[in-house]
Amino acid sequence: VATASEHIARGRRNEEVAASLPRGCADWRITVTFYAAVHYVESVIAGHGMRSSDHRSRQSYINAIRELRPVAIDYQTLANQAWIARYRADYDFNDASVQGEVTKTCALLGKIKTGLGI
Amino acid sequence: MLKDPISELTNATSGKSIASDYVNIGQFTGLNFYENSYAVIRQADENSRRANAPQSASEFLQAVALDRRFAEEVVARALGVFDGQLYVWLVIRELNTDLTRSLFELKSAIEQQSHGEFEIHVEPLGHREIEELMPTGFILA
Repeated sequence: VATASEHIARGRRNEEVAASLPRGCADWRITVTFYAAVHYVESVIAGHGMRSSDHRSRQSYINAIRELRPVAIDYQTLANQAWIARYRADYDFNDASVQGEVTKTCALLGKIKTGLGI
Repeated sequence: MLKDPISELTNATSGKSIASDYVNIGQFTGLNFYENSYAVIRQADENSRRANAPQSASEFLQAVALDRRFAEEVVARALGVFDGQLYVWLVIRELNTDLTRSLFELKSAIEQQSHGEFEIHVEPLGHREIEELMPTGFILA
């Protein structure tokens, strides 16, 4: 079972990957940013001696663990946008008209980190 | 006559309440005492919150319909059960992070108020027809 610090290290690496992605990879930027958030949330869950088995169980922990509740809305929003990025093959996240939304979505990670004290 | 989507879904879940599943202690064996106790309490709590899910989802849909922020942007709503969870599927005109966040905020407020837990999913319409974005078995609300 990964430790809290291992999850934080993986989250940071995902952030670096997201920042290094070339133009034309906005869908991946959102996806990798979301998986950075997953690891930061998992770091808190690991701090309680537990781990999530899937997205559903992670959501249960977010509802149940006091330190995670303040970031619940931002995390769910990021998760929702990442779902679209992963599965809506018809939706063009690289279109100039949605770049502002891509930036706003990725900025949710900063709020999540602040909320978790990372 | 229009059917009530909430009643339809209650019937669709094989005629029983979503929460009528008992806590199965056996499924938690192999965990340590703390994890076991935590998991049992969490399961019981989840069952209770699922029992109130249809009412909460109904309140959420009413609130979405009455809120001016959502009136123009939410172009379709559907209800369905996926993986044992009650889902409200919303289609919005364009990708909109702030609006999506507001919908999650509203969901959270209603869940706390009515002690019922449901899921929402928010998708942009893009260039698709609404029907193309609806998951199989979901009912337009």
